[in-house]
Amino acid sequence: MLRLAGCILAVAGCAGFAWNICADGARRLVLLKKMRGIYETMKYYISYQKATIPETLRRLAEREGEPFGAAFAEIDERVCEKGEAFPAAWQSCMKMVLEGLPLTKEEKKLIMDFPCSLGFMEENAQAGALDEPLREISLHIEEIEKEHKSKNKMIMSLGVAAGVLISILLL
Amino acid sequence: MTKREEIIRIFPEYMKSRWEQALLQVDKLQEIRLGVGQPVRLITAGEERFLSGKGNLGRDWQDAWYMTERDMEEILKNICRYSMYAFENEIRQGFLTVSGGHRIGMAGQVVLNENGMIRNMTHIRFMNIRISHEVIGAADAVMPFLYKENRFLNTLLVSPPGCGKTTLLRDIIRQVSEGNIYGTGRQVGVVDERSEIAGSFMGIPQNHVGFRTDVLDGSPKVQGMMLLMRSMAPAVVAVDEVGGEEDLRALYQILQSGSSVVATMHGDSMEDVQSHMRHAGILFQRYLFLQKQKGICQIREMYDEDQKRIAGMWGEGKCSA
Repeated sequence: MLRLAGCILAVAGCAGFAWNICADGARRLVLLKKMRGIYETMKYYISYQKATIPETLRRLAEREGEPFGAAFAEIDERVCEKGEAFPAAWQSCMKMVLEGLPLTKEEKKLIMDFPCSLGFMEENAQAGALDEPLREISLHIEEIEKEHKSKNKMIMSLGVAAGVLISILLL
Repeated sequence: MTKREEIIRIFPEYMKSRWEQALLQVDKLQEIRLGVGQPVRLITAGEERFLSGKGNLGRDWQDAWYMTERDMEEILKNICRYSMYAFENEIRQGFLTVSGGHRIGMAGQVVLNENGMIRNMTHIRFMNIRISHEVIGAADAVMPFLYKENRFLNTLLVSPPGCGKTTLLRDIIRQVSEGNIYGTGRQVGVVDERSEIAGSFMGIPQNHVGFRTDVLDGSPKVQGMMLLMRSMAPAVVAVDEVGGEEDLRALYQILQSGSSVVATMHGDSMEDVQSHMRHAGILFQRYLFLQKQKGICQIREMYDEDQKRIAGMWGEGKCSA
């Protein structure tokens, strides 16, 4: 009886672990889509309203919930109220936010490097400079969406199989 | 925020420590001159000092800190909060105002459009940071003469450049807006073409211009005056450096609509004023002439609408009727 319970637990644990990996993938997709939306809104504020970057972040902070909203508000406050340089404020706030997020190294770097795409004298040029990270993010989204279903099936199967294998070994 | 903090904020993080020591005597600081390949100069109470790489001030330019292209670019980015596109119009005009009302003049390579007009400025390599020193109460001595039966009289401030017209105008605006013992507070509309009166930064006045004052920042004078009249119904319209025929025509329209006007004009005498006003048919009720003597800005004399001298003022704040 105990052996059976152990086997069930091993299979369930492995399946749960696999499910968690799948959920991280889904969350990654949601985050990337959110980031794409943020960049697109930024482009609008820059090209149509000529809003400064901290001002844009302030407006986005009002709309965006977790995980980026609070960080954007803090960046705005640090730049506008405390006079901190924008790249330093961005790097430190976003580093903290990104630490716990299921994004790849490359995706995190895309977000961290945002200040590098600033510095244009004309609003359309500045908005255009955001196209590059936007394109990169869109590519990642496309890739995840394509692989999402099949990858999830594979991960779940592997998880259950690993659970069964552990059970056999235990028996 | 203190004036010192406002000025230190102009510079990027890695430069701040150098400025912290140099800006201890910020009250007397007039200008900071920056140029690529040039020593950093601070003009304090009319005297020039050089800033060293360690943040000390001295007279020897050979020990001075020389600005690099990167330094200049970083300063510009920092001033514009990494959003240069948002300050395109200001950069095109060659200056921008930062928090605290300090004006930063710029020079670099001008880009022209097909009509030969300035489209933008790139490679900004020179900057002149002019420190704003508001003089609250600068207009105290003249305020009794600017009212008649609780009505603000149309006033023109006249002087050559650098004699304190804008400083006086700013304090008049503040006192008219907030009210004083000579008249109740009035709605004032300021057309601040060069952001010198209110020193607005992102639309917010950095100087005290009164709580009943609406500021139209960066707008050409004529369009600005008409826009304010249509939209904000000011009792008094304030405008700096009028002189062109169109400016005077716009002033005339404002006077016709029943609002009062306070304006400044370049000149030195009543003849200068008359030569400007000849065709416009505008009659101001008070003409204030300013001068600078031994580095001190003074109100030289005042005339009424009949161009009769009503007061002469000598020295700071003194007045003899």
